[in-house]
Amino acid sequence: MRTIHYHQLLHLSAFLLIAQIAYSQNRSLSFDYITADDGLSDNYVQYVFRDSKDYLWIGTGDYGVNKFNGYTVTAYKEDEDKPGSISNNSIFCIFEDHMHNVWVGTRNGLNLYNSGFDSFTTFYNDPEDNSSLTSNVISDMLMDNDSNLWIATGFDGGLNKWIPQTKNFQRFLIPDNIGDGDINDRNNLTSVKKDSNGIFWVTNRGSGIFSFNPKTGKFKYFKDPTPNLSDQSYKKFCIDHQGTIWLMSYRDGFYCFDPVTGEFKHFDDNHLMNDSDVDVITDIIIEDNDHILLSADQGGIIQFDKTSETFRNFICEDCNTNGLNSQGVRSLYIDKENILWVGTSRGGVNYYNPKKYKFNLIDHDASDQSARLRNTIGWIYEGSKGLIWLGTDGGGLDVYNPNTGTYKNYKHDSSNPFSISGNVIRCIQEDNDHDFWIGTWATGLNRFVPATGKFYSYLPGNGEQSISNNSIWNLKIDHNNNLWIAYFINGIDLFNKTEGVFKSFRADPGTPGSLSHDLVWSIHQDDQRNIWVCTGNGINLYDSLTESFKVYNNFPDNNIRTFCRDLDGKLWAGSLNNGLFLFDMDGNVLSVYNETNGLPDNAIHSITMDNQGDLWITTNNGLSHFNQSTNEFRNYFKNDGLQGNIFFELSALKTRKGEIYIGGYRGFNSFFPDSLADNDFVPNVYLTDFKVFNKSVTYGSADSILNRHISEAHDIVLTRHQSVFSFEFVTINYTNPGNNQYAYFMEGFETEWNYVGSKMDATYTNLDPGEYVFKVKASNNDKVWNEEGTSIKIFIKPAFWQTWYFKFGLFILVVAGALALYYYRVNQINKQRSVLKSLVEKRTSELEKTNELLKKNNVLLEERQRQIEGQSDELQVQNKRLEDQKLELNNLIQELKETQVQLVHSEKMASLGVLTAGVAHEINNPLNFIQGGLYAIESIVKNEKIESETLSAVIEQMSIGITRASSIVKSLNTFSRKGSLEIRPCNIHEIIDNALLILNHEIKYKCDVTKNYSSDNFILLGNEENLHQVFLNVIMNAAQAIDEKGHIIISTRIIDGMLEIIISDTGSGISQEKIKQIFDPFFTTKEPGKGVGLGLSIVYKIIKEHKGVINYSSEENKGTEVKIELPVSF
Amino acid sequence: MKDDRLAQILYVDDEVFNLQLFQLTFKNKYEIIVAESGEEGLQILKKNDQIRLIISDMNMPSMNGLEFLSKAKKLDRNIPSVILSGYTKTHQIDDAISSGLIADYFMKPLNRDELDEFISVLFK
Repeated sequence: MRTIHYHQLLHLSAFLLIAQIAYSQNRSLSFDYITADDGLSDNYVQYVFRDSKDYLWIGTGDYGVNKFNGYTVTAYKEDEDKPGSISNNSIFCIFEDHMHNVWVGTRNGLNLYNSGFDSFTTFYNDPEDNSSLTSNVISDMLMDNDSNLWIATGFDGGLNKWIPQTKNFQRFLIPDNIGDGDINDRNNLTSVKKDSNGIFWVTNRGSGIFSFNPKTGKFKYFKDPTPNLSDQSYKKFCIDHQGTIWLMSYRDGFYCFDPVTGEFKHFDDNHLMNDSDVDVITDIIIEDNDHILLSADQGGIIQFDKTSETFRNFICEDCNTNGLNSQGVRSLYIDKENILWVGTSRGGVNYYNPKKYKFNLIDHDASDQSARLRNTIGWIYEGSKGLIWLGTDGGGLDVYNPNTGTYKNYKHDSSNPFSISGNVIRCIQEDNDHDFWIGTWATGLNRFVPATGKFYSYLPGNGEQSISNNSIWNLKIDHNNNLWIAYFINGIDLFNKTEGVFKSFRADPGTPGSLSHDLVWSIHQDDQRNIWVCTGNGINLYDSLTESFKVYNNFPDNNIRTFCRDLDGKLWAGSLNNGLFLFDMDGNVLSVYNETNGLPDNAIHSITMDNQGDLWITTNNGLSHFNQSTNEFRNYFKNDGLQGNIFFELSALKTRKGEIYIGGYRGFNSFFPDSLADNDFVPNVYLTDFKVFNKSVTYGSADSILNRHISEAHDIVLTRHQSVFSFEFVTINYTNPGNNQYAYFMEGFETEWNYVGSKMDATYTNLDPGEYVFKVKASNNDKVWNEEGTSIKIFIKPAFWQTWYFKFGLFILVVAGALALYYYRVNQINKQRSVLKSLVEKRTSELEKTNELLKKNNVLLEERQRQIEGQSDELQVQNKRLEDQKLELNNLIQELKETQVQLVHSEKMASLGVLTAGVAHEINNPLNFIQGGLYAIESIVKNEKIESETLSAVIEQMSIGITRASSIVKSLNTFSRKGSLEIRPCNIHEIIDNALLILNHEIKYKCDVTKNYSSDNFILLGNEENLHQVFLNVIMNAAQAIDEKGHIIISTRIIDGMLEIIISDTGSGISQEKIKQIFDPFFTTKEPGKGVGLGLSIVYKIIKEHKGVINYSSEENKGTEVKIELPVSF
Repeated sequence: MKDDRLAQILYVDDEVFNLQLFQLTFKNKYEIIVAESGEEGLQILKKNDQIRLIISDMNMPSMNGLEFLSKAKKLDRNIPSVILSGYTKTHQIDDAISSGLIADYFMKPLNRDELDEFISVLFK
């Protein structure tokens, strides 16, 4: 067993609160990586630093510095031709001052990062200038208690203090009279650190250590008394919470120095590495109160326990697939979130994030074949002594001691008659005599006596004295110490240990009270001592008095794998394929929970109730926590540290302490439900790019939109032409960043946040001129949102015709025109209406008179016929002729009536034609002003030789506007065209769309229009103009019925060979008595000027001409639905 | 040898703003003489024999564009003429084109390039 338990490794007292939650679960060391494959400039990482904005700075040995945001790496390399690039590619140290400036120290020069321009300013030594840096080799940096930045330099440079006001440096050199006489370059410094009193400690390439008081500028030397030190040089050190200084040397182990006593203590490499060849230490940091961490070239990470003075070594050899990826470790860094960042020599950055793994994962080394078999955990059971008994799938019986992390494994041994009978273990139970019963697959039942370590096997074949089948699926010891045995095809046996008798229960459809199915998945005993048997056909409740079963098989899926009775007595059944069912004792299914309610998968493998009564459900796709108080599921996956997403059926356990164990194919997880903590880190949000027409905007130059990098900019000013722009953004969270969530919104344009999941960009097009604020917020992997996020102001400059004075003038013009037109039209329509009405009345009364006359004649004729009837055949013939005449006359009446309708129709057409032509003229005239003005401006501009791109573009825009308006006018033509009687194939959707376009002025400010057009192919033969009129009328009615705000839905579909068009609105509706009249000519509910009352009678007639049907249904104050059916062919 | 002076065009429209804009639009190419009504247009035609093209609005008080142009025709001078109007084309216009009363019909808003091309072909 070579799994590493990290709880022993990282116990930072400073993070005790988090640590108690995060580290309380025994866990393996699993690393994530940032390598050259992710864009890192090199895999040799010398220095790692996380700044206050949470960017991770990664300094490489020879290839520059990198900035990482959890997703992507930006590399910065030396480039003489590029101003603002870093001065050197060999990175020695990275530091952030109290003004949040990031400083990068290199082999040649000190670089100050300027986030506004994403560039560096370099400071060098100038031999002529005493206020420049003393040396260009930057070894280390720190800040004193007064927020001054100090730089330790190599090459005799000593300490330098940064003076921000003058942008130069003050020099502090170790005087010649301090330190060992044989040190040539005593000011060749390697490291500087500050203790809790604000005193600096400084090392150089010689032995010993110096203290330095930044207030007085005085150095003090502490000589190391250890012999053989002259060739050694300290490189780095750290100061622990007690003030002890831990120094590492390149090739001579490390030292501990007590500044109070001035004593040094040496820990050599023999101490360190026993028989390993590690001898070069590369970094040393404080892990917590008790531990120091060292990194070694070719030696991984070494943990030193200060109290016991013992070592633990974490090297690549020990790692599973998620271990250290390189033996060479160059640097160590623990950040504010307790993440351990490891810079390696071949593997880039390795980082261990304790928050990433919520669950304790226990497994065997997967590279060991025999151990790998033991990673498939078919059963988990807690024995009376607190040991965890694991039934593996081929690896025998494992007994795990959770206190020591050790295992005892039992396998079948053919030479030992008292070994376990097989290695595929399905189930384990301990009886009241502390014997363990172990069910195997294909090798029968075993009884294990822990005291003797002997297994006794039970095999089938001996009637009542034996088990029914040697493949056992499940076992259960009941309160009477009887053993229930479940088989895959043989029902169940009940074993009475005292009598040694097996009683078999089988499914028998002919016998009431028998088991419902011979496939038995599991047997459970609830807290009422009821025995529940889950089978391939529902659940059976055992009645011990009658030795029979009550069957529950009304489930949507009766293949029930498992059962649970919760603290409230609710009964839960977990099915093989259809989720979870809540049912009662009467067999009623009360609720069904499946993927649609939030379960991650419908295949239920186990249900475990925790101490609060909540359920923990393993499935074929992760673990689900069902919260009984909120009725909600919270799901966990492999990302969260689970052994995998697929779990082994029935492999789950709650221990007496309340810890839950769940088993799968890659080991098992354990956790305390109370301590599953979500990541509470609130991530910062930054804009990362701004694009116009999908092209990143440059910044900082005179003609660019941004004066600094978008992440630092406060506002953006855009012109009308920069109409398509987009933002990219990021939130920095190093715990499962793939699960970070984003939302953005454009204040002034939208009213709600757009929640876009993991999408990290937003695009806007054609925003009106004005002022906007673009806001982005983000959450971490556990949906903890940074509600504040980040924001930027956007100003879109208006063109002159968008200014208020121009709009106002135009508005006055339009209103005046519209008013004049309106009053003129109302007057006209009222006049026409009365003329038409009197005309129709006159015609109707004429027709009625004729009709009356005809009726009289008919009566006379009928009388005469009766007189003559029976007299002669000749007369009968005559009579027939008269009847024909009567028919003909009736037809004539009918024809007259139709003529009347046609008259009315043509009147209507004419009036609408005049209307639209008038509207067109009224629109075209003002348009002509604009167009003329445009030409005039253009010619002025050309004459004046004003070469202004802006003005040309303005003119271009005006032209576009005019073209658009003109096209609307042209579309009116379709309607004002003189009616033709031609019948030809029509595109009904185009006709409806055209009617909508014409009625746009009625609709646009008050109705949403939803169109659900049929995508079927069909041919509608008809008269386009007439159909156009139909929809114009019907949609106009719908629109006019809506007072303030409403909805019109237009849907078409093919049903029973007819085209069905439904136009419904949410308007004022029509009462029941009025709806009968709607097709009558001159019936209208509208006020004068809004309609003459002929529309629907014409609609009715046109639909009839098309052999169609039209129906209105309406409810007052709810709305109206018009259904039109027209015959079509295909 | 071509005349140095710009060719003269008579433009009749009852909207003064339209007349001004039209003049501005073509001022470098043609000399635009304007009239606010058919009557005024006829007066100008009687005095000026240099006009090479008449452009008239359709909808004007007292005398519409076609009436004005048919009266202009009777002045016995064969000046090509066109209608420029905000209305869509009507049968009346169609008839006027086919009878030769007008050479073409243009819609408002004015498409300068279209009209310009028409004129340059006409004047070639």
